[in-house]
Amino acid sequence: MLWLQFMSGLQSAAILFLLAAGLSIIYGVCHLLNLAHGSFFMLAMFLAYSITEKFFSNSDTGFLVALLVVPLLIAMLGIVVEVLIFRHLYQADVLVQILPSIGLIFLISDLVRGVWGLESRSIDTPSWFSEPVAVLGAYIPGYYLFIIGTGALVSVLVWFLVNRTPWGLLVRATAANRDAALGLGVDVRWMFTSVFGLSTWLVGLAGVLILPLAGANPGSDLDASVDAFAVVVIGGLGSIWGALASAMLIGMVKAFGILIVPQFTIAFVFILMAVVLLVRPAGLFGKLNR
Amino acid sequence: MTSTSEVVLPASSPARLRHAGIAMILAAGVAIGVLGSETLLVQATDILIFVLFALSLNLVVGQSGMVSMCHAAFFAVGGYVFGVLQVRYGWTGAGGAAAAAVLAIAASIVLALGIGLLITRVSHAYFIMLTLALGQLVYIVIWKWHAMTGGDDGLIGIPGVAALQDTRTFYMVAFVVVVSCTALLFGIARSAFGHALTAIRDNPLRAAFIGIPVRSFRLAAFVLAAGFAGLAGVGQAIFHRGMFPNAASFITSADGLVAVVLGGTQWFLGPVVGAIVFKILSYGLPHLTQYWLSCLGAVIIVVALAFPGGMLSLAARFDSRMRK
Repeated sequence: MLWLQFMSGLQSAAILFLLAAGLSIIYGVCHLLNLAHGSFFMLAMFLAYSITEKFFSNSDTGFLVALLVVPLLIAMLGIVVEVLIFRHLYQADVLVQILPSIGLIFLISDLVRGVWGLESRSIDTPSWFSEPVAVLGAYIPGYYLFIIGTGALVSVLVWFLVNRTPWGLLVRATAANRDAALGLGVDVRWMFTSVFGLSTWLVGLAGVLILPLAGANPGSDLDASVDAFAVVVIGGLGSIWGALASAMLIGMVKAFGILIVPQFTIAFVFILMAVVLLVRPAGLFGKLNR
Repeated sequence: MTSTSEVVLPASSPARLRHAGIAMILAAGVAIGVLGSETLLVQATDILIFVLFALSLNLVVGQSGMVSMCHAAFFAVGGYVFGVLQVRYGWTGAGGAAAAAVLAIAASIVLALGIGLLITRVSHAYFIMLTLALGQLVYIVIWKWHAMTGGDDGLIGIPGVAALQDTRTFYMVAFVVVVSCTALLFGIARSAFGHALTAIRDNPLRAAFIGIPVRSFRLAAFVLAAGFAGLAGVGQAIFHRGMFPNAASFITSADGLVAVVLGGTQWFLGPVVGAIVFKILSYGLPHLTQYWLSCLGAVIIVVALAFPGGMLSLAARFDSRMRK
């Protein structure tokens, strides 16, 4: 029983990490808070629903296609949004930076309402994962294992991208000192755009992965944003590993909290957030210099 | 390039423009009260309530430099506490209603104290995320606490105040209240306390060095603004005889923020102009297109990119060019 809850916590941690990592990376590199982060997540869910349900009549192939295509579509949208809007705001006042993401939240939620209506949409778990798998004496839903595996794989991939590739080196340089990087001939604009692309790809992936477990609703955007904020507030903005640690913490708190008081798991997350802020106002892994 | 401090008090402070604007808004307000049709009065009252909401928000946003995304929570709590006291506990007489209103505003203030104690210690980005998250929490509580708030059915049948049942009377009273609150907020903005807030906004470190208690002043501004938002919420509850969860939603908070920026955060009357224009847009757009929220979103993006100083900055620039 506890083992099953642990795996369930691990599964939600994987989703939370994919969801929040992008928000944290964008802030770390571009110093921009994208409030519309959850809107990309919701859009990914609805797009995945349409591809699986409408084009492939809810088949396994449909899910696979959605898993490959939707994150790319979301990343493309993210890049377009960065080039058209956010690129012009990196130097701007916080309030002016926040405003366009509010506009985006309105735009995307209105679009989703217009195209998909107000109903909750979901898809079936792909048949490969429909059987529970016996792990250490407990039967774990196969799809949990798939999410955990994907989350782990992507974490390693992100680590590799940031720490072991030339692109990652430039990104780290830009994050550490934008002006120095610019002076050394780093194309900072392209760095920002590509970081936006990676971040929105991650959030798109999270949206597709969660869809068989949780329905897509017109309110999913803000729910996802609040989840992502909780992760980065606890972990520390701009720190990917803070996001990983905090996603694990929140995933576990949610999974075990449900055993104690089923209706108020969200309250646990807020209490955790309050405690962390009182002890470390910049989050567990954040720096307090701003 | 668009830092807020840049647009404070332009070289030719257009007093002429300001006086003409204030006179025009006041005259229009009185004219609507005397001549307006029932529909116009209803819309104008909604605008008045929203003006108070946006003005109080600007004490936090424009004056103190804290981008709050949970202002709707204080508005909704004001309205709901008033409504719950009337509907569930029968505080319906004149005295009961007055006591309910006082308690409702007190509730908003207490909530702001609780939230403020937690968040006035964190930096910009955390402040924004936390206020948004806590605002959503209040929204969820209102939505789920069906027995008390009526949940998504709304809290309906609020008796309100017997003397204010007539739309025109209510409008007139609301007009006087909002104008008085505006004067009061203006006094606060131009007081030593208000100037200290501006100093904190522009440079918290320097403000701390010259002896301004940064955290307490931020908290005080946050709480004070919440009190005015609570009053606006009480007005909403009395006027519509009901409260609905969307009063606490992210959209309500965002609307306030948009109105503030649309008018110009660095102008005391910016939120007033912004709120009026915003409400007129949101009345007009749904008649033109089904996708009015998208249009609003697009307008917001364009305003942020093209006129970050807001309409009043634009008007001031236009006016100074005309006089040259």
